[in-house]
Amino acid sequence: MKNMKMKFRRMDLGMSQTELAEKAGVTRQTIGLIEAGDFNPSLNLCISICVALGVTLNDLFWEDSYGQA
Amino acid sequence: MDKRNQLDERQEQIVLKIEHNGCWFAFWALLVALIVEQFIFGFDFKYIAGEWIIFMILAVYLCSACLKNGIWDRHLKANGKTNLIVSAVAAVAFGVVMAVGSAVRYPGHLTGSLAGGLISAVCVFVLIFVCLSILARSYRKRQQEMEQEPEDE
Repeated sequence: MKNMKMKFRRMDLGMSQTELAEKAGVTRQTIGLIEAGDFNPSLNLCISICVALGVTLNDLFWEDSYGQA
Repeated sequence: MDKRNQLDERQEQIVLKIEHNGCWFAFWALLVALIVEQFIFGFDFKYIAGEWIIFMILAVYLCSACLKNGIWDRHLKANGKTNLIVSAVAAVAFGVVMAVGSAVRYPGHLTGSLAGGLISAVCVFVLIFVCLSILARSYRKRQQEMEQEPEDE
Protein backbone atom coordinates (compact mmCIF):
# COMPACT_ATOMS: atom_id res chain seq x y z
CA MET A 1 0.00 0.00 0.00
CA LYS A 2 1.39 3.41 -1.02
CA ASN A 3 2.40 5.72 1.79
CA MET A 4 0.85 8.96 0.52
CA LYS A 5 0.94 10.56 3.99
CA MET A 6 4.72 10.38 3.97
CA LYS A 7 4.97 11.66 0.42
CA PHE A 8 2.59 14.61 1.04
CA ARG A 9 4.35 15.55 4.29
CA ARG A 10 7.71 15.57 2.49
CA MET A 11 6.26 17.66 -0.34
CA ASP A 12 4.66 20.08 2.17
CA LEU A 13 8.12 20.69 3.58
CA GLY A 14 9.48 21.22 0.06
CA MET A 15 11.87 18.35 0.59
CA SER A 16 13.13 16.04 -2.15
CA GLN A 17 13.49 12.29 -1.67
CA THR A 18 17.26 12.75 -1.73
CA GLU A 19 17.15 15.34 1.07
CA LEU A 20 14.88 13.16 3.20
CA ALA A 21 17.13 10.17 2.53
CA GLU A 22 20.16 12.11 3.74
CA LYS A 23 18.38 13.18 6.92
CA ALA A 24 17.14 9.64 7.62
CA GLY A 25 20.53 8.07 6.79
CA VAL A 26 19.36 5.88 3.88
CA THR A 27 19.53 5.94 0.08
CA ARG A 28 16.99 7.78 -2.08
CA GLN A 29 15.85 4.45 -3.51
CA THR A 30 14.78 3.30 -0.05
CA ILE A 31 12.63 6.41 0.46
CA GLY A 32 11.13 5.93 -3.02
CA LEU A 33 10.29 2.30 -2.28
CA ILE A 34 8.66 3.15 1.08
CA GLU A 35 6.50 5.84 -0.54
CA ALA A 36 5.56 3.43 -3.33
CA GLY A 37 4.61 0.79 -0.75
CA ASP A 38 7.18 -1.67 -2.06
CA PHE A 39 9.34 -1.81 1.08
CA ASN A 40 8.38 -2.21 4.74
CA PRO A 41 10.81 -0.17 6.83
CA SER A 42 11.97 -1.26 10.29
CA LEU A 43 10.62 0.59 13.32
CA ASN A 44 14.00 2.35 13.70
CA LEU A 45 13.85 3.64 10.13
CA CYS A 46 10.21 4.73 10.58
CA ILE A 47 11.31 6.74 13.62
CA SER A 48 14.22 8.32 11.69
CA ILE A 49 11.86 9.35 8.90
CA CYS A 50 9.34 10.78 11.37
CA VAL A 51 12.10 12.77 13.10
CA ALA A 52 13.32 14.07 9.74
CA LEU A 53 9.79 15.13 8.77
CA GLY A 54 8.89 16.47 12.24
CA VAL A 55 5.87 14.22 12.77
CA THR A 56 4.91 11.19 14.89
CA LEU A 57 4.64 7.55 13.85
CA ASN A 58 0.85 7.82 13.98
CA ASP A 59 0.88 10.75 11.55
CA LEU A 60 2.70 8.77 8.86
CA PHE A 61 2.16 5.08 9.46
CA TRP A 62 -1.26 4.68 11.04
CA GLU A 63 -4.44 4.27 8.99
CA ASP A 64 -7.85 4.71 10.63
CA SER A 65 -8.98 1.46 9.02
CA TYR A 66 -6.40 -0.48 11.12
CA GLY A 67 -8.49 -0.02 14.29
CA GLN A 68 -11.68 -1.46 12.81
CA ALA A 69 -12.46 -5.09 13.53
CA MET B 1 2.63 -28.67 1.56
CA ASP B 2 1.57 -25.17 2.58
CA LYS B 3 3.31 -22.61 0.33
CA ARG B 4 2.70 -19.71 2.69
CA ASN B 5 5.66 -18.54 4.74
CA GLN B 6 5.53 -20.38 8.07
CA LEU B 7 8.05 -18.04 9.71
CA ASP B 8 7.40 -14.78 11.50
CA GLU B 9 9.54 -11.68 10.83
CA ARG B 10 12.16 -12.52 13.49
CA GLN B 11 12.51 -16.11 12.29
CA GLU B 12 12.74 -14.90 8.70
CA GLN B 13 15.66 -12.61 9.62
CA ILE B 14 17.41 -15.49 11.41
CA VAL B 15 16.97 -17.77 8.37
CA LEU B 16 18.41 -15.05 6.10
CA LYS B 17 21.40 -14.73 8.44
CA ILE B 18 21.91 -18.52 8.42
CA GLU B 19 21.68 -18.62 4.63
CA HIS B 20 24.10 -15.67 4.40
CA ASN B 21 26.65 -17.48 6.59
CA GLY B 22 26.19 -20.72 4.63
CA CYS B 23 26.64 -18.95 1.29
CA TRP B 24 29.90 -17.25 2.33
CA PHE B 25 31.23 -20.41 3.98
CA ALA B 26 30.61 -22.33 0.73
CA PHE B 27 32.27 -19.52 -1.29
CA TRP B 28 35.50 -19.34 0.74
CA ALA B 29 35.69 -23.10 1.37
CA LEU B 30 35.37 -23.77 -2.38
CA LEU B 31 38.09 -21.22 -3.11
CA VAL B 32 40.47 -22.75 -0.57
CA ALA B 33 39.70 -26.27 -1.86
CA LEU B 34 40.39 -25.18 -5.46
CA ILE B 35 43.69 -23.50 -4.52
CA VAL B 36 44.91 -26.49 -2.49
CA GLU B 37 43.89 -29.02 -5.14
CA GLN B 38 45.33 -27.17 -8.10
CA PHE B 39 48.36 -25.30 -6.81
CA ILE B 40 49.52 -27.46 -3.88
CA PHE B 41 48.58 -30.98 -5.02
CA GLY B 42 48.78 -30.20 -8.75
CA PHE B 43 45.48 -31.88 -9.68
CA ASP B 44 44.59 -31.85 -13.37
CA PHE B 45 41.87 -29.29 -14.20
CA LYS B 46 39.40 -31.99 -15.29
CA TYR B 47 39.28 -33.26 -11.69
CA ILE B 48 38.29 -29.89 -10.27
CA ALA B 49 36.16 -28.60 -13.17
CA GLY B 50 32.87 -29.18 -11.31
CA GLU B 51 33.97 -27.22 -8.25
CA TRP B 52 35.41 -24.48 -10.45
CA ILE B 53 32.18 -24.10 -12.45
CA ILE B 54 30.05 -23.90 -9.28
CA PHE B 55 32.46 -21.38 -7.74
CA MET B 56 32.42 -19.18 -10.85
CA ILE B 57 28.60 -19.30 -11.14
CA LEU B 58 28.34 -18.29 -7.47
CA ALA B 59 30.87 -15.47 -7.91
CA VAL B 60 29.25 -14.12 -11.09
CA TYR B 61 25.78 -14.31 -9.53
CA LEU B 62 26.84 -12.44 -6.37
CA CYS B 63 28.59 -9.74 -8.43
CA SER B 64 25.87 -9.24 -11.02
CA ALA B 65 23.01 -9.26 -8.49
CA CYS B 66 24.74 -6.63 -6.34
CA LEU B 67 25.60 -4.43 -9.35
CA LYS B 68 22.04 -4.69 -10.68
CA ASN B 69 20.77 -3.39 -7.34
CA GLY B 70 23.38 -0.63 -7.09
CA ILE B 71 25.21 -2.29 -4.18
CA TRP B 72 29.02 -2.46 -3.86
CA ASP B 73 30.04 -3.65 -0.40
CA ARG B 74 29.09 -3.24 3.26
CA HIS B 75 32.45 -1.84 4.29
CA LEU B 76 34.49 -0.95 1.19
CA LYS B 77 33.95 2.05 -1.05
CA ALA B 78 34.17 1.79 -4.83
CA ASN B 79 37.23 3.95 -5.45
CA GLY B 80 40.73 3.61 -6.87
CA LYS B 81 42.44 3.37 -3.48
CA THR B 82 40.26 0.44 -2.37
CA ASN B 83 40.77 -1.29 -5.72
CA LEU B 84 44.54 -0.90 -5.38
CA ILE B 85 44.59 -2.33 -1.84
CA VAL B 86 42.28 -5.26 -2.66
CA SER B 87 44.26 -6.09 -5.82
CA ALA B 88 47.54 -5.94 -3.90
CA VAL B 89 46.27 -8.22 -1.10
CA ALA B 90 44.92 -10.76 -3.61
CA ALA B 91 48.14 -10.61 -5.66
CA VAL B 92 50.37 -11.20 -2.62
CA ALA B 93 48.16 -14.09 -1.42
CA PHE B 94 48.12 -15.69 -4.88
CA GLY B 95 51.86 -15.15 -5.36
CA VAL B 96 52.63 -16.85 -2.04
CA VAL B 97 50.34 -19.80 -2.88
CA MET B 98 51.96 -20.19 -6.30
CA ALA B 99 55.50 -19.97 -4.90
CA VAL B 100 54.79 -22.44 -2.07
CA GLY B 101 52.93 -24.82 -4.38
CA SER B 102 55.76 -24.74 -6.88
CA ALA B 103 58.40 -25.22 -4.18
CA VAL B 104 56.51 -28.25 -2.80
CA ARG B 105 56.13 -29.85 -6.22
CA TYR B 106 59.64 -28.99 -7.49
CA PRO B 107 61.99 -29.06 -4.50
CA GLY B 108 65.45 -27.75 -5.31
CA HIS B 109 64.15 -25.04 -7.67
CA LEU B 110 63.61 -22.30 -5.10
CA THR B 111 64.61 -19.43 -7.39
CA GLY B 112 62.26 -20.66 -10.10
CA SER B 113 59.43 -21.03 -7.57
CA LEU B 114 59.96 -17.48 -6.28
CA ALA B 115 60.11 -16.08 -9.81
CA GLY B 116 56.92 -17.97 -10.71
CA GLY B 117 55.21 -16.61 -7.61
CA LEU B 118 56.31 -13.07 -8.40
CA ILE B 119 55.20 -13.19 -12.04
CA SER B 120 51.84 -14.72 -11.00
CA ALA B 121 51.36 -12.00 -8.38
CA VAL B 122 51.99 -9.23 -10.93
CA CYS B 123 49.58 -10.81 -13.45
CA VAL B 124 46.88 -11.28 -10.78
CA PHE B 125 47.34 -7.69 -9.57
CA VAL B 126 46.83 -6.26 -13.07
CA LEU B 127 43.89 -8.57 -13.83
CA ILE B 128 42.05 -7.87 -10.57
CA PHE B 129 42.71 -4.13 -10.69
CA VAL B 130 41.34 -3.87 -14.23
CA CYS B 131 38.28 -6.02 -13.37
CA LEU B 132 37.56 -4.03 -10.20
CA SER B 133 37.92 -0.72 -12.06
CA ILE B 134 35.44 -1.84 -14.72
CA LEU B 135 32.99 -3.15 -12.11
CA ALA B 136 33.34 0.01 -9.99
CA ARG B 137 32.53 2.14 -13.04
CA SER B 138 29.42 0.00 -13.77
CA TYR B 139 28.41 0.29 -10.12
CA ARG B 140 28.72 4.08 -10.10
CA LYS B 141 26.69 4.32 -13.32
CA ARG B 142 23.96 2.08 -11.91
CA GLN B 143 24.00 3.95 -8.60
CA GLN B 144 23.53 7.26 -10.45
CA GLU B 145 20.59 5.82 -12.41
CA MET B 146 18.92 4.56 -9.24
CA GLU B 147 19.54 7.74 -7.24
CA GLN B 148 17.92 9.98 -9.86
CA GLU B 149 15.13 11.99 -8.26
CA PRO B 150 11.67 11.23 -9.70
CA GLU B 151 9.30 14.10 -10.36
CA ASP B 152 6.72 14.46 -7.56
CA GLU B 153 3.17 14.49 -8.95
